[in-house]
Amino acid sequence: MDILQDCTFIKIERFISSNLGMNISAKELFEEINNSPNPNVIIDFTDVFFMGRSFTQEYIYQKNEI
Amino acid sequence: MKTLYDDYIEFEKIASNFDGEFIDLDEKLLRPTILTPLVNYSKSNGIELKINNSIFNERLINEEKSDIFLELPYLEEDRKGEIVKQLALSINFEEFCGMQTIIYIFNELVSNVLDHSSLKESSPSKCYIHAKEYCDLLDIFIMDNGSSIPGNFERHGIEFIDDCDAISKAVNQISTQKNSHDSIRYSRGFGLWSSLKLVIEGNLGKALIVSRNGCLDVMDKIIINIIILITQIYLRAHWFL
Repeated sequence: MDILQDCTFIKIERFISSNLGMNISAKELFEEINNSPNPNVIIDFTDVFFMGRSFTQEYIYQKNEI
Repeated sequence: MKTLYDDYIEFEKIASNFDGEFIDLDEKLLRPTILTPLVNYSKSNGIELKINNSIFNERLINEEKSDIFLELPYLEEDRKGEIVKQLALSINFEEFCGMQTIIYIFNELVSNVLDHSSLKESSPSKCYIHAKEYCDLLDIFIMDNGSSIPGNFERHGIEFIDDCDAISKAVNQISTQKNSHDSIRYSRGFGLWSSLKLVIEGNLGKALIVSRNGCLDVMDKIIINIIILITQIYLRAHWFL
């Protein structure tokens, strides 16, 4: 199976910011992921400058809710 | 040396005692804890703010890199992360606590403003950030004029004794934001506590938290002065670091 088939790519630096600081940003990211028509999602974290506690906590929570 | 609380009281004195159409501030009083709430107060009440007879202009302050004043504009929520990053990079962090500390604190406190205030285009809420460098310290001020910590607790049915108690609860990780899991792993309310810990313990700094009538003057890990303010000038949630 080609994992790249039926896949949504999200470059997070472009979708949110190079500073991942706000938990609201993580919520919006997972809204986008949950609305994706594809079963697979790849999140590209390159060019991220900083990832803060609020974002990380919300990210982990949202990921476990899927 | 003036403390953060001294500066805050100075702001209250100026705002209470002005008589006329404008407040004229002495240049010597341009410390974040005096200037920034005065900017908010004057804008909220339609009063002109002058600095030594010249009308206050935010850009004039920002001419020097060591003094940064910013009214956080309404933008797409996620774009604020970029603004916060640019602000943190503008500060001479190598001289002080390091870039990681500064951007962490900015992120946590602005995230709190977005979570608990109404920083949207249709709302009158404002958020100000003022960072000023002195030779041996960095003075950071973040405020919003949203619903305040006690106000938010009231809206969510969280009980408290007085406004200082509400602030203490917020610092001690009581949050109005809930996740569906009960696990502490996913629980909220760590932003203010972790930021304070970073400032007080990690960098031997001080903090002043003012919200509605409550004031916590955090001198160090042990000495915290708890003050009920009797002023009629309502400020919402502020974090002075």
